[in-house]
Amino acid sequence: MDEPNLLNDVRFLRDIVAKTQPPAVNLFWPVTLMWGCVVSIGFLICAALGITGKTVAIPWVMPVLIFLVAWPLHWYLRRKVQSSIEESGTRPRLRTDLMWCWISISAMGMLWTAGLIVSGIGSHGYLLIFAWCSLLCVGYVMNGVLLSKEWFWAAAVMAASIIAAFLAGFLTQQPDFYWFAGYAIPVTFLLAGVLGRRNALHV
Amino acid sequence: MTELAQDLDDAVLSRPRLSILAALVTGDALDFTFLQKNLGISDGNLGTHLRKLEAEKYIRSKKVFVKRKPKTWFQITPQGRSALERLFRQLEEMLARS
Repeated sequence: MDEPNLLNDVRFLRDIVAKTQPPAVNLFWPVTLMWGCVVSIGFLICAALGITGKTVAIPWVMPVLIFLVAWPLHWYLRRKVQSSIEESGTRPRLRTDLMWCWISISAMGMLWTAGLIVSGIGSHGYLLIFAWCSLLCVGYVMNGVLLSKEWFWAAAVMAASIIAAFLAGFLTQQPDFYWFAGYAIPVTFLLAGVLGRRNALHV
Repeated sequence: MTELAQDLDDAVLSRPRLSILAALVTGDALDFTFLQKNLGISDGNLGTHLRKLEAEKYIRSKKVFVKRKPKTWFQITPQGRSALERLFRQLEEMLARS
């Protein structure tokens, strides 16, 4: 490599990297959208059970939907998207950064949940919602930084809903309003899925 | 300057091999056809350069069968990444001295 060619080679390499680097979009948007749909359906079922007075079944709705519906669908959709990406000639690396980020968030959430339950939250059950929504907000910001920009919108919606629920509960002295922060969970997943689809299709 | 040029790693220095490593540097595995299409290197040439990089342990390959068709994935190794980083450091040093 002669000296006069150095700059040309740098330009050439920059072009190669630009052509071959993966786009900063979430190609796995169907998985995100699916989680949004399943959690939304879960919320609707819980609401219907609450209205009809069958409150005993409510705690079982989300675990059943998550483990029997969402995870199998997650596995299926993930494989489908992965194989379509592989057909184009690239095999995405395992995102250990994202994996550890969400493992840490889940572990923190579980510790908060255990801690609050053990210390006896009683009528302050909404604290769990605040804890999980705050952790999800942090996770969305990390997704925005590490994966794709649409997650910043999800984080903004989540942060706004936490603040709105807090203000509504605090100003009216009605703690029931605090639960409203939780309604942002399915909304943010749906939002990230829909925006992710739009961004991925524009690449 | 000549001393610095002598230290450059020959295995990485050729343009096709450098472009292969640059394409793989993101960490994703790329298949033979993808590399050929994006780097504009002919079949035989690409195979030779890939073999050379593999012999130096700068990349690793994995052959799989997709719908009964063979497909070879190539991925950069930590040694390949360090070789590329070392080369860039040396080139920067050469540019700074020139």
